[in-house]
Parts: sequence; structure tokens; C-alpha cells
Amino acid sequence: MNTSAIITMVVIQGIITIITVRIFYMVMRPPKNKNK
Amino acid sequence: MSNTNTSQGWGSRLGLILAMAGSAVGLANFLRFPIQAVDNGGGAFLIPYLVCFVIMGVPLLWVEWGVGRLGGKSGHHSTPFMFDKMTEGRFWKFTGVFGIFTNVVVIAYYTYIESWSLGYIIQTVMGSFNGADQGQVAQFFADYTNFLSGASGTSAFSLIIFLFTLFLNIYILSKGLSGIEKVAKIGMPLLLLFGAILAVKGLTLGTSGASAAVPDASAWDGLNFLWTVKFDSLLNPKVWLAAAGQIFFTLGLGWGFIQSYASYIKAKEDIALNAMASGFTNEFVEIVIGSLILIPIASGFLGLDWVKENASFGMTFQTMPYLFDQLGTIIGPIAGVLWFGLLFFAGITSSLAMGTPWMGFFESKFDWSRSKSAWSLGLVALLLGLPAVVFYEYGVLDEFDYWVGTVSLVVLAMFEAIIFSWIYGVNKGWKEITEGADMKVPKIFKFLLRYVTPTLIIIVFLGALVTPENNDWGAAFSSLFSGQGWNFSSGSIVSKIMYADLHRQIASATDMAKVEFLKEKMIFSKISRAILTIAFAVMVYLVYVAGQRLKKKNELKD
Repeated sequence: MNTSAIITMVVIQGIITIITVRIFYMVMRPPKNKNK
Repeated sequence: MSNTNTSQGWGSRLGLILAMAGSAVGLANFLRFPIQAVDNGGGAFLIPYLVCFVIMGVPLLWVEWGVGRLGGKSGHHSTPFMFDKMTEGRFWKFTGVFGIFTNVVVIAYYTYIESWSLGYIIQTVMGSFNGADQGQVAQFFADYTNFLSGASGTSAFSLIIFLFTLFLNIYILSKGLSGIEKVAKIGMPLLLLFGAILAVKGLTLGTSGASAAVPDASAWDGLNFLWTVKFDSLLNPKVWLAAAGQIFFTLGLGWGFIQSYASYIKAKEDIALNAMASGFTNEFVEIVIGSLILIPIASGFLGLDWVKENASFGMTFQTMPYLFDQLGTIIGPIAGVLWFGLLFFAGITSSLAMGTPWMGFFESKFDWSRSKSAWSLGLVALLLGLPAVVFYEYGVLDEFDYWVGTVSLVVLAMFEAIIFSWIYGVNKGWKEITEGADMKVPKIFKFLLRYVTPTLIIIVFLGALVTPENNDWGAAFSSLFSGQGWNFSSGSIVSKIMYADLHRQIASATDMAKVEFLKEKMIFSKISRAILTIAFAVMVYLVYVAGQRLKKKNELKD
């Protein structure tokens, strides 16, 4: 695999993974909105 | 906090998100995305794809969740009366018919494709593909789907598995949201596990699949092709339209089931963050897992040139069993079961979502019981699905898929974006999206919702309507301005309406048997369109009757 493809794959997949994990972290913590 | 719906609601936030993500994660993530990427220059596809996700996918997800929760507050669980509520009783409710119609027609044949996955799991375990060459595996698929002239034992098995899959879907739907939630909580983690194992195989296959017949085969070539970004393709409208189309399919936009699912959430449930959670789960499955299976494994055994020439939906069932068999007598069947198991879970979590708008409509507007709504859907799906199954070789399924599984989605999303941003009003819409949100929604999205997203969907629709020959927009405009007219692609809506492709095939065919077959295919296409038109007209009538019932109910209340 060439270097530029590896970098693109790691960066894009990494960003998507980090955002997804971060969102699920926010989902699983107790809600700020106490009315819920 | 009271639930917006009188009868049922989601058991947990995680269950809701997994069900929503499951509805979006479907066959498109593993099959359509890599094939679209290959057809549109590999890495070149990624930038337009990600841009379209942000400026069209994310805003539309919020719109659909917002429309759903808003409708649910008034007891509406399908798009016609959600639109009716937002437009204050104008004719717009009839545009919402697409939000039920699409699902009923697609579930009819989607469960058939879903049943192929289940059937292929059984066939893999039974060893039907052991030692078979590529041609034999392709022939097996032809027999499996050909009821009129294929091997009778295989096609009978296929029919039984289809009926079982449809029954399973309807049975789960008859259990209500709790049944759907259970399937999502089991199916989604298994799908991720199976996908991750196969993705590792795709990443590590390298050149080990090369053979005497294809000595240069390498999985790296497939990955290079998918992940090397070619910036010159950014100026090609074809790539942008394909990327926007993929965002539609993969996120489950324009179907009407997101709205239906969202109509069962609590009145102040966070929709901004929930929509992001389901949307990004879908993107994770598509970009991180989906991109590492089909193309690298196929390139690893058959070479990148073969993949570029043959990349199609059919590869899944016509080629993949052969490739898995090359992995050896132990790993091969395991990989096959994981692949078809993954597709089955991806399929069933989507087909269950497709059943919800119909059920929500009949339960809330005709006071039908959950069970009656579910089994009536099963009957209609069977009536619509059988022609697609039995006359598969005459293109009935393709005809249904084009008009309903492709065109209808864009039409509904176009009406919805216009209603939400321009008729209901983006200010009220924004309030709906941000109410109860645990995340801060960037203000730029209000601008995107008002101007960019609706305009983009209209462009996508017009692009599909008049797609030029070879998707070459530059040549098409030059031809138009030089007075030589516009040459339509055979895939454009205009060409499809005129049966241009079939006419061309008949004109160029020399074999009389083939001409006869194509003529029969034309008749089946016309019958398919008549069936779809009647189904749509019946849905319009039912929405009209439901509207009259609702009017009477409201008058009695007053």
C-alpha cells in the first residue's frame, strides 16, 4: 500500500472513529436537561 | 416525562440509537459504498462524499428526527400527517404518501434480498460452494433466483427462505418497538463484530491470494485505489451527484422510517445528539469497516482490473462465496458465514424500520391493533414481493427498485426539505431540532438548512432526471448550446420513462430468442409500473380517508 493512501485511510478512519466514540460518550453520560 | 405516543415508546436511549443506526446500516454500507467508490475514481469519491455528509446528510438527519418528534407530539406516526401538521392542512400531506409507499414496496423485495443472505449462510454451512469454480458459484446464484427456468430444488429452497424471512420480519413487527429494539441490541453488536473480523482479513490479505491465473492479484491495490485521493475529480459533477446519492441511501434519508421511529420518542428527548449518534455509527460501519471488505478481498484474489470491470451488487452472491472458498476449508466457511450473517443483520434491522410507517399509519389513523397492522403489511408485502421474486429475470425487482428504492426517496426528501425550511419555517424548525439537546448545534447549520440542503436535493433530483450520456455534463451542455440537443443517459429518469435502454437493446439484438425475451421484459416493465401506480393511488386514497376521519374526530372534540 502506498504512503499517501495509508495516511488518508488512517486520518479519515481515525477522525470518524474518534467522533463516533466521543458522541457515544456524550450519549451515555447523564443528561444535562433535568426535565427529561 | 410523559411519552408522546399513547401506546408505546422506546425502552432506552441506547435501544433507540441502535435501532435508528440499524435502520440506516444496510446492504448499501457494504455493497453500494465500495462499488460507488470504484465507479467514481476510488479515492476521488471520498472528498465529495464527506462534504455531502456534512452539508446534506447531517442537516437532513436533524430535519427527519425533528419532523418525527413534532408529529409524534400530535399522535402522528407517518409522514402524511406529520407534513399535514406542519403545513396546517394543505395538500402537502399527499406528498407524505411517499413515506409509506416507498417502505411497503421496498420491504416486499428487500426481504427477498435479505433472504438470500440467510439462504447463503445455510448453503455455506452445507458446503455447497466447496471446491466450486467461479462459474459454478455464479450459476448457483442464477438457479437460486430463477424460478421459471432454474434448477427447481434450489429455487424452491430460495422461495421457502424468502417466506420465512418475511414471516420473521412481520412477527417481530407485531411485537412492537420492544421487538425491534431487541433485534437491534443483538444484531448491531454482532454486525460490528463480524464486520471487524472480515475487515482485519481484508487489511491483512496482501498478496497471499495471488494464483497462477492472477499472479498480480493484491489486496493492497484495492486499498490503494480506494484511499488515494485524486483532487482533479473534484470538478466532475458526476462524482458529486454519485456522492450525494450515496449519502441518501446510506443514511436512510427520504424513506419516512426515521420520522416514524422518532415519533415514538419523548417530547423533550435530545434529537440533535441522538441523530448524530445514529448517523456517525452508520458512517463508522461504512467507512471504517465497509471499505475494508469487498474491494480488498476481491482485489486480493482476482486483481484490481477485474474489480474495476465487474464491481456490482451481484458480486456479493456470485463471486464472494468463491473467494471465501479460496481461504481454505476451515477459514473459508467461517468467513462466508460471517459475511452473509453480517448482511443478514444489516438487512433485517433495515427492513424492520421499513415496516414501521405502515404500522404507525394504521394504528394511529384507523385504530388498528399492532398485530392487525403487522399482518396486513405482511400480506401486502407478499402480494407485491411475489412478482419481484418469481419474475426476477424479467427485471421486475429492478423496476421496483429504480422507481421506489431510488427516485421516490429523493422526491420525499425534496418535499420534506422544502416544507421544513420554507413552509413550516426554518426558525421554528431550528427550535424543534435544538430543544432538549445535550450538544450545541452549530449555527451554520441553520443557514445550510435554509438554503443549501433544499437546493442540493433539488439539484440531485434534476441531476437524476436528465443525467447525460456517459454522465458527461460538459459534453452534454456543449451539445445543447451547439443546437444538437441533450443526449440522455440510459439511467436518467427521462430515459427510463421512455424505455430507451430496452428499445436500444431490442434494436441491436440479432438473435430472435433474445429479441422475444426483451419484448417480454418490456411487457413486465409496463406491468410493474402499473402495479406501482395502483399501489400509490391506493395509498393516496387511504390518506384521504384518514384525513376525513381526523377532521370528524376534531369536529367532535370542538
